[in-house]
Amino acid sequence: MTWIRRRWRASVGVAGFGLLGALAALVAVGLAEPAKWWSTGIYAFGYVNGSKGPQLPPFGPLSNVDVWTVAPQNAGTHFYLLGSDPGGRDLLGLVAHATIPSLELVAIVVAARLVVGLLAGLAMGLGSRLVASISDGIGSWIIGFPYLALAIVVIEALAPRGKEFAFVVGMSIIGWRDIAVLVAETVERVRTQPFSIAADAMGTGGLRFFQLHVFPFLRPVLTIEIAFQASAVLVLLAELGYLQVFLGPVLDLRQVGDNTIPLITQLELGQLLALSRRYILYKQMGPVLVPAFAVVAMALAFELVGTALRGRSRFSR
Amino acid sequence: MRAIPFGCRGVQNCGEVLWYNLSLIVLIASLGIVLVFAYFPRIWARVGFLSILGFKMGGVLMATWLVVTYAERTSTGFLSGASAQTLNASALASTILTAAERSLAVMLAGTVVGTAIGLGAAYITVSQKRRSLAAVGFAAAVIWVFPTFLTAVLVQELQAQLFNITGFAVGGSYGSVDPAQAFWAALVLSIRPAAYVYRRARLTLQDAQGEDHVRTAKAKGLPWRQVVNRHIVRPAAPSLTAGWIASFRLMIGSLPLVEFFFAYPGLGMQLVLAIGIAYPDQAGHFQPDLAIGLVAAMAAILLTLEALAKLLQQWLDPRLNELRISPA
Repeated sequence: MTWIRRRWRASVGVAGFGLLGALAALVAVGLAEPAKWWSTGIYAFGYVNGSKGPQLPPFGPLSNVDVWTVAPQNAGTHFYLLGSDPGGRDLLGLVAHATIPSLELVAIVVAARLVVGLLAGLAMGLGSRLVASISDGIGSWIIGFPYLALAIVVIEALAPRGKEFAFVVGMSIIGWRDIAVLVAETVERVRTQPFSIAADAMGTGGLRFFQLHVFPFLRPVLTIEIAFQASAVLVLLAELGYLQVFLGPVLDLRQVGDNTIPLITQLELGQLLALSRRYILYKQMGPVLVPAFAVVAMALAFELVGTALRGRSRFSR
Repeated sequence: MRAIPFGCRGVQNCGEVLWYNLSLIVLIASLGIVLVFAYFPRIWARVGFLSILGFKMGGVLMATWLVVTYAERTSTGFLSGASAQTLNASALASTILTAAERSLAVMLAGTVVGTAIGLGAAYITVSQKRRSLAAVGFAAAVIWVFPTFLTAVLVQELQAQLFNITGFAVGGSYGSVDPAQAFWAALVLSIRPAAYVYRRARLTLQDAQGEDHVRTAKAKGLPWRQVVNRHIVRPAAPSLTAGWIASFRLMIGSLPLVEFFFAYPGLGMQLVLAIGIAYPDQAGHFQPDLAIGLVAAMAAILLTLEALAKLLQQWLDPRLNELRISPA
C-alpha cells in the first residue's frame, strides 16, 4: 500500500503544481494585455467572426470579435479567451489584474491567522488551566458568531481606518480558532503518548520538550493547515464579494444603450463577484463563472500542494 | 462615549440596550453559579457546565453588542445610520423565534446529510483500502474549494435543467417557506461541511492507523474491519466529534449566504437584511437590535451544541477530562 500512497501523493503534488503553473501562465497572459481591453475601454457591440449582425457584450469565450465603442468607433479586433463582461472588457485581463491584490491579501490574512492560532493553541494545550480557560473562552466568543456576519461587521466597522487593514482584521478574526484548536488537540494528543510521559519524567520540559516532542507533530499539521487556510481565505473573499463586501472603493455605473449596467472599476477577485446576483438575473453567466472558477482553481491548487507537502513529512506516513 | 442607561425608557434604540442588559444579566447569573456552587464539588460537577455556557453566551452577547454599536458609529458603508424602525421586545422575540424555527429545520436536515456523507465516506475509505477510493479525496478537495454561492448557482441551474426536461418545478417558491425550498437550501448548506467532515475524519483515522495499539491488533491477526471498528474509530471518536462540530460551525457560518441566495426567511437571511445588505434594486436598512438578536440566536444554537459535543468527547475519552483538570 505504501507505494500506492506515495504515487498518489506524487500525482497530487504534480497536479497541484501543474495547476499553479497553468494559472500563473494565464495570469501572465492576462497581465500582458493592453489596458484598453480590460481597463480603459468600454465597448458597446462587436462583430463576432461567423455571425451576420452585431452582438452586444458579454462576448462568449474563445471568440474573435471586431469591437466597437459607444461613439461608435472601431477599437480593433480582439480574441476573448474567457469571454467578456457586460462592458466588453476581457475577463482574462480583469481576473489576472484582480489576482495579484487578492493573493497579497490572502497571504497576509493566513500569516495573521497562523500567528494568533499557534499562540492561542499552545496556550490552550501547554499552558496552565487558567490560560487554557481564557484562550478557550475568547475562542468560544469568536466562534459564537456566524463567520460571514462577523467578518462583514468588523470590516465595515474598521473600514474608515483603511480598507486593507479592515479586511485583514475581519478575515483573520474568524479563522484563527481552527488553527488554535488543531494545535491544542495535537499538543494534548502528544502529551498523552508514552514517550511524552517518559520525557516528562526524565525532566525534559519547557521549550526543549516543545522542540523535541511537540513541534515534529505540529509541523505537518500546520503545513496542511496553511494550505487549507489559504484556500478558505480565498473562498471567504469570494463569498464576501458576493455579499457586496469587497476591497475596492466604489462601483462605477455607466449607461450602455438603454440599460444601466454596473461595471467593476477596482480590480480584486471578491469585487469581480460583487455583481453576480445582478448578472445571474440578466442570464449573463460568464462574468460570474469566470472569476468564481478562477477562485476555485486557485484554492484547489493550494489544497493539492498542501496535501502533497504533508505526504512528504515522515510523521504523517 | 454615549452613556448606557440600564433600561429602555427614553433611550433612542431600545433593542440594543435590551441586549446589553441581557448580556449583563447572563454574565452575573453565571458568576453567581460559580460563587454559590464552586465550594461544593459534587454539585459543581453537574452545574458547572451551565455556568461556562452562560459565560460564553453572555460574552457573545456583549461582544456582539460592542462590535455592532462600534460599527454603527464608525461605518461609512451600509452599517451607517440605523433604520428608524425599531422593534419592541415581543416583536423582536417573535421575529427571531420564527426565523430560528425555520433555520433549525434546514440545519438539522443539512447536518444529517452532511455528517452521513462525510463520516460514511471517510469510514469506507479507511476500511475498504481500495485504490479507486482515492478519487473520493480528490472530489472532497474540489467540493471544499467551491464557494457556497457558486454551489447554489449550480444547484439553481440544475433545478432549471430538471424543469426543462421534466416540466416539473422542483425548486420551490422563491422567497417562501416550503419543503422544496428547505430541501435545496439544506442540500447546498450540507455540501461543504460534508467535504470538511470527510477530510478531517479521514486524516484522523489515517493518523490513528499508525498507533502502536493498531499495529499490535494487526499483528495478532484480527480482521481488518474489527481493527478499524475497535482500534481505530473508537479511540478516534473524540477527534471525529471535534471535526463534526467544526463542520457545524461552518454550516451555521454559511447559513446567511445560503438563505439569502434562496430568499429563505430564516435566521441567516434576516441577519443579512438586518445588517443593511439588500437585494438588487432594493434599499437596505440596518437594524442593529435585530442583528444582535439574530447573532445571539445563532450563537445559542452553536454554543449549546459545542457544550454537548465537549461532554460527549469527555465521555468518549476520559483521559481528556483528566488532562484538562490536572494542573500543568
